Order: sequence, then C-alpha cells, then structure tokens
Amino acid sequence: MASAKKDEPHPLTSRVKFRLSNRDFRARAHSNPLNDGNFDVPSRPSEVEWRKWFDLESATSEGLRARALKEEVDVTRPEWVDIGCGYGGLLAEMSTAFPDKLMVGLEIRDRPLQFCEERIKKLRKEAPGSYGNVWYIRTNVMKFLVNFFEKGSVEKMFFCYPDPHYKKKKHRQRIVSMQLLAEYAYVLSPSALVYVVTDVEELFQWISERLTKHPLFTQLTDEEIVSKFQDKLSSQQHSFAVAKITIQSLSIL
Amino acid sequence: MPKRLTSVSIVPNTDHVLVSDKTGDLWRLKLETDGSDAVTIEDVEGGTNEPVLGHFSVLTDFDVVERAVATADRDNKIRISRLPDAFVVDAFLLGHRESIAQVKFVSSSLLVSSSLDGTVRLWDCKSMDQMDRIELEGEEVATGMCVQAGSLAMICHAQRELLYSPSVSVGNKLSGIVRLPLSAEPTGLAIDIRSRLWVSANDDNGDLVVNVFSCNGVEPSRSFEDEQALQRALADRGVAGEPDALIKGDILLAQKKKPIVDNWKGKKRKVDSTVTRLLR
Repeated sequence: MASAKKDEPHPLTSRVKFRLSNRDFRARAHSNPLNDGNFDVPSRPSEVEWRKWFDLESATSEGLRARALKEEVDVTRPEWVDIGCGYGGLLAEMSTAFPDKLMVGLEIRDRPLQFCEERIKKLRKEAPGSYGNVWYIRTNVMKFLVNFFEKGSVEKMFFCYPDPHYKKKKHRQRIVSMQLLAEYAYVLSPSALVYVVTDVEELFQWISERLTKHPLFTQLTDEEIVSKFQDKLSSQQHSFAVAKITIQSLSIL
Repeated sequence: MPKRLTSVSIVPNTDHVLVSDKTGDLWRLKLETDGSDAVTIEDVEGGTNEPVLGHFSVLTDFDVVERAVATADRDNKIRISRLPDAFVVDAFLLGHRESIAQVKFVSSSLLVSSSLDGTVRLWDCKSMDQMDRIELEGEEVATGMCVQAGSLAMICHAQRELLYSPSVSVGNKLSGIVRLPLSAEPTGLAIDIRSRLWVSANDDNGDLVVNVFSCNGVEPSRSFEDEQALQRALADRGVAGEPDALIKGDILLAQKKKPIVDNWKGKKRKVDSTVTRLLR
C-alpha cells in the first residue's frame, strides 16, 4: 500500500517528499453524538478566541485586513458554518473563492479534523496570505453549537451529506430534527440561508419535511434565490435552498 | 410516556402540564377532571403529540412562567423559549461549568439556577447576562429551590441547613443569605398557598420529618404548631418515611459527568473517581 511517508528524504536525491492525504486519517463514519465526549467547550460565545485561529493580519484580501484592525470582538466572528465538515473539502475550496468571508467547519470526529487542520496549515504556508479565513473545530454540534455562536450571527449554514441514520431508533440522532431546528434558528440571522446536500433520498425528504413544517424556515424557489440578492427579504423567516442529487439506479445481476 | 421523566410542572393559568424526560424532550399533557376529586392526565387533543421543545441532552429541570419556559440540561445550558411558540428561542444562558441541577424563575425576566459546579447564579433573561453568582462552600449543590414573592429558598444536598435569600428581584443580587438549621438532611421543599415553606427531610431512622417555616420578612421562622399538626395528620393517614426512596438530590448528583483519563494504552476512557482513588 502506497502510504505517504511524511518528511522522509528520498535516498538518492535527499529531497523531502511530503504528501498530505486523507488516507492516513481514516476514521469510522459514525461517532455517537449522544456520548459525553471530551471537548473543549467554551462556556460562552464571547469567550471564543477567533482571532487566534484565523490568520487575518497577513491576508491578501483587504476586507479581511480591515476586519483585523477593528477592535470589536464580533467583527472577527465567522459568518459561514459547515456542520459536519468531514475532511474539510468544501471550506478549503470556498476559502479562495470568497476571501472576505470568515468560515468555520465543525466536525465531531478526531482524525478527519486533524487532517483538516494540517491541510490548512500547509496551505497557509504554501500560499501566504490565503486560507486565513477558514478554521475547523472539533465539537458536538447537536449539543454545543450555541456555545460557539452568538444569537443571529451565522449567515450561511451547510449540511453536506449528513449521516443518514437509516434505522428508526436512530432518527433521533439525525442532524436536522424539529427540536434542533430551534437552536439552528437561534444562531442564524433572519436573512440567512441553509444549504442541504445529500444523496440519500429518504433523508432528503425527511429534512425537507422538517424544514417546511418548521415555522421559522421557508423554502426558496429558484426565482426567489436569484432575486434574493437583489432585494432584501423583509420577513423574519430564514430561507433554505435545496440541492437535489438524483440517484442513479444500479442494475443488479 | 416512553422514557423516564425528570421533572413536571403546571403551566400557570392553564390546565396543561409540562413534563421533561431523560431524552431531552418537553411534552405537554392535559389535566382532566370529571367533577369529582379525581384528576387524570391525558394527552392533548389533536392526535400526534410532538414534543414542545427538545434539547439533545438529558433535561434535568425546567420552570414555567406565563409566557416563557426555561429548560436546563446536563450540558450546562439553560434555554429560554417562548410559550406557546416554543420553537422560538429567546435566550441561551451559558456560563455554568457543570450539569444544571435546578432552575427557577424569580420574576418574568430574572432566573436563578444552581448547578453541580457548586454555584448558584442569577440571570437576566433579556440580556443573557449573569447578574450575580454565589459559590457554595465545599462545592455543595443546591438540589432544591423555591421562589416566593421575589425571595429564594434553597436546600443543599446533605447539608442540614435552609438557605434563604430575601428580595432577590428587588436588588438583582443573591446577597444577604440567611442559614437556618434543619432537624435532618433535607430531601425537598415546597411553598403552600399560605406562603408557608415546607421542607421534607429523612430522619436518621428513615422517618419522614417535615419542617414548616413561615416566611414573613427577612428571616423565615419555624412554625412548630404547624409542624405538630402536620405530623399528627401524617400519622393519622399512615404516611411513614421510606428509607430506600429515591431522593432528588441523589439523582441530580448522579448526572455529573465522569472524568476521562488515558489508560496505559493511551486510550481515553471514562473512569469513576472512586476507582482512580483506589488505584493510587
């Protein structure tokens, strides 16, 4: 098996080959969120030191540098949150596409998060001035989301390929449930957007049903999504945009 | 109800009852009377009974006022939600370091909470600020709380004292705590219609003992006549203490999270503190 040998010089050329691959950070797909776990949970959102994690002063983006100069704490808060970010691919791509926005990924599993951190540090070294607007935190979102984010501070929330928890007794552990939507609505601002991506049709219907039934969320039609960025929505409701991926049927022999 | 319940309360000025269970859900039930003295509890009409709200954690205690419900869980969070629109969260009161034990509204915007970290904190629900905080000696946990006319009465687990703080809502502070001795270790407390404070306790013999206080003014005073009348009434009805009864204080203290240490392999596991002491 070709595993990445970190920091080992090649015998002939003495050139260090360093390839960071998520194959070295393999982890089980599941981690029981009901467990107590040992997380460093901040006792309040105001006590989270975002400045230490984000690399703002040396960012090439002017918007970020201006934010770093401001004294108020809430200016350096992340607006975009990726819940269950796994190996952090989404945020790593979005970081260069949106260099002015601060984003954070939350993951409960240990090893994928280690990979996320190492990759961001490596990317920051290789491309100085970039990737300073992303960070990843290891935490149990279903229990401690409100410890990290102030009320109404999140602008975009991503639920990408959440764990389907097929069995009925596990439905309680699904990331989107009527009870938890109240907490998500608490951290989301009134004009925020929620993005849901999944390849499991039943889970998609479950999540759509919950989001539609919940009084604080509405579904945007495609026209509304386009016009949203032209006029502001005056209502107090959050909007959610839905991405549906069709499942290709497999032919079974 | 499908799961073990942890707390129950009647919504003021309604015939609804709220119960919290150990999965973190709050349910609404209805009180039915049929004219006689008997009262039954039924499901709320309307078919599917969905939880009013839910935490993803054991709900240890909750309290209800006219337009709000405060729910506290084992992960140090207190959530203030609107009633009847409980899907709207007005505030999260964060700051405790351990599981919350008891939570009580002092007024519609002031809340007092006690926790296993040995503190009792006073909160302003609108601004989510901690107004005041007291540390109980030796990290004692206030396992019973009662509020009446802006004053707070507390009992601590395994301490033969009643703590009383008058006029909490006036000064926004938990100051001036008076300690009154009790005849036995207290198990629970309640206030009756005539503003008398009842503190139940388990005697050394396991008998039920009730101390009655009348709360007029800064310091409540024990009312021995009421106590004697009560003991006679209990004896007439044949009510005796149960030595093996579950005490609320024990249940609350059992919610404490166990410390996680590495074993010799480096694998993290939860260890009971008594075991670590023996291993040393």
